[in-house]
Amino acid sequence: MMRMLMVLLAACVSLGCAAQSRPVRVTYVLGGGNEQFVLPTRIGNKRIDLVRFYVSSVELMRGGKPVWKEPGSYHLVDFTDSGTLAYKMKTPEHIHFDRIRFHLGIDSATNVSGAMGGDLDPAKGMYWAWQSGYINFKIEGTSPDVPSAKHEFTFHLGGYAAPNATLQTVDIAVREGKDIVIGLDVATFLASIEMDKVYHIMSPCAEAVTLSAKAAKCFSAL
Amino acid sequence: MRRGRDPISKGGKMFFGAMRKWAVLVSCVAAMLLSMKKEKASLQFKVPDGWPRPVYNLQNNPLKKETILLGRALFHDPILSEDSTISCTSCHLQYTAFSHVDHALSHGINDSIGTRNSPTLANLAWSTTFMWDGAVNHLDMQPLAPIAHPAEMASDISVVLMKLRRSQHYPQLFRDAYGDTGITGERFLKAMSQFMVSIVSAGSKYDEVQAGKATFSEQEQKGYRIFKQHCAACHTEPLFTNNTLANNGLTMDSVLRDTGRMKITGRGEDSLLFKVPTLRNVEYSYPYMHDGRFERLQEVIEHYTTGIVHGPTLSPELQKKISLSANDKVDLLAFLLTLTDREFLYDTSYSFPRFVFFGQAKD
Ligand code: HEC
Ligand code: HEC
Repeated sequence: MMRMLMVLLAACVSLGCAAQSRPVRVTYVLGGGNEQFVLPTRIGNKRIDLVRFYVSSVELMRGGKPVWKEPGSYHLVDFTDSGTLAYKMKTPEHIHFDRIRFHLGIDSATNVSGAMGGDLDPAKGMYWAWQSGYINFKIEGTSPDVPSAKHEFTFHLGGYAAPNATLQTVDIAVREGKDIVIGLDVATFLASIEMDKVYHIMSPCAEAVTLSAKAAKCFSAL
Repeated sequence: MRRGRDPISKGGKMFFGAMRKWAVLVSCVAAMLLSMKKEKASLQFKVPDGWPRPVYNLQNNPLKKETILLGRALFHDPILSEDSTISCTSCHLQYTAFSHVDHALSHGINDSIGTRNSPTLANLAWSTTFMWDGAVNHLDMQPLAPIAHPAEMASDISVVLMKLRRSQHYPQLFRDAYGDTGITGERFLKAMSQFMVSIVSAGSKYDEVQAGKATFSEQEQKGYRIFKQHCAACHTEPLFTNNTLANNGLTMDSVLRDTGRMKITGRGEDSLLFKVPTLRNVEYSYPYMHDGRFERLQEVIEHYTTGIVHGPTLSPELQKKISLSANDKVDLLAFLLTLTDREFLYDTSYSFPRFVFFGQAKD
């Protein structure tokens, strides 16, 4: 109770005199380089219906060192919900940075800490019901390469415990001091998967770890 | 008399003093007073004498009478299942220590049969892992499993939340619990946890004896000695589980071929490891084991004395044969029956909260 009071007081005081923040805006787009997509979309012979993932522990870096860490940093990015694709970070004024680093997925401590709210609410469809744990990255669609009747591929990548921990770190160069646009090169990601063999992942496994690492490499700043 | 099963008591004294001189911050103080008022309503979890601290983090989910009631209503309400026919109580019936006695494998929606026996629910605040294979890592996340399981409730949490928002009673129950009618997954799950945390069984004859308020018969006392020698390494007092997963020497079921923990981890060394269940109220948790293979406690004791399968993952505690005479077996059984907590089985604070749905009865 006392601590809460102190926090309240501090908040009131800082409202009056702290530096005004100039937020850096982060935007996510589906696609890398020149081509960008809005779901549902076709890329080559594939159709993509859903792309959804967690970004957490966001840090801005300069010269290889973190200059700012986002507090309570958990974001659900859902390309079927435009409301999740851009937000302002509460960065201080005149911040200089040349890279952004974040986790693709949810850390293991959060995975074992019970029900949470906001983007971490298990009702957001990114939580496994029958075996506890967040789904870090989801992509669903169809491809003629998939040998099943409906040709559907479903990749729900997650798992927080060894040996199938899937959390990835993404560390990418950005333009100094500008708003950040992060692209996920989904075409390259899908092209890296042999869909005649691997097309259905819905639980933690070695394949999920491999695909998570591949997905993490498909992010870049545009 | 206050008993372990009734672990809730008013609490939460506030300290509030020197800050008044900050006259400028009137608004902050007002906010404080409001939150104080709210916290007054929070309850303290009473840990039975001699028990360890609960594992469930109550700081993240402070107990409140109204929230427990919300959880209790949800626990008894078939609204959680796809066709509104199955509630948590369908498989976890209070009178049978919150387990499902008639069926070896629990029955769910459309009479489909699950693959495991529904365990007794008690003292969940002290559990570190849930389900027979430890698939669920936190009490909060437990309800997601049956709600989504196609053979159990066959629904989805987002669908359940939608039904609750549209229902006649729940917006008000959520408001009572949380101050507004927002119905989120987090609030839903935390309310369910509050009710489950409140399910405490600590009033058996065994507990009375520990507290010096009763004495074991000679037979029970002998049984207790045998229990401590052969069983307590895993079924550790006072919770009667050590919260681990172990292979207690059962043969693998030939139909379901359930490998237990290995299903989750894929590791050979986890083959046939199952959660050590509590033995509190074991008289009522029949049929026994993850697949309900034993009907009677005598068969369980027979298993431990003559039925142990020496597979590669058998627990070290059971490597050496347990030899018990016919009398020993009867004594051990007599001790196991002292773990029955009758008041717990009939405690109305866990039962269907009729008044929530139909108003207060006038009697
Ligand atoms: C159709 C029957 C059925 C229904 C309905 C059901 N359960 Fe269960 N419950 C089970 C079975 C079977 C298990 C063990 C499953 C396993 O280990 O795979 C279980 C396990 C549990 C456990 C873990 C206990 C432990 O000690 O590990 C808890 C807690 C629980 N259920 C609570 C609930 C709640 C809350 C609901 C309602 C949302 C519910 N159950 C609905 C059958 C059911
Ligand atoms: C190595 C640890 C270990 C020891 C020692 C042990 N148990 Fe168990 N016990 C277990 C495990 C694990 C289960 C659950 C196994 C399963 O369902 O696959 C279990 C299940 C049971 C059950 C079934 C409970 C239920 O509700 O289904 C009873 C009863 C029981 N044990 C009694 C005993 C008795 C009596 C002894 C001593 C003779 C004993 N146990 C010794 C680990 C142990």
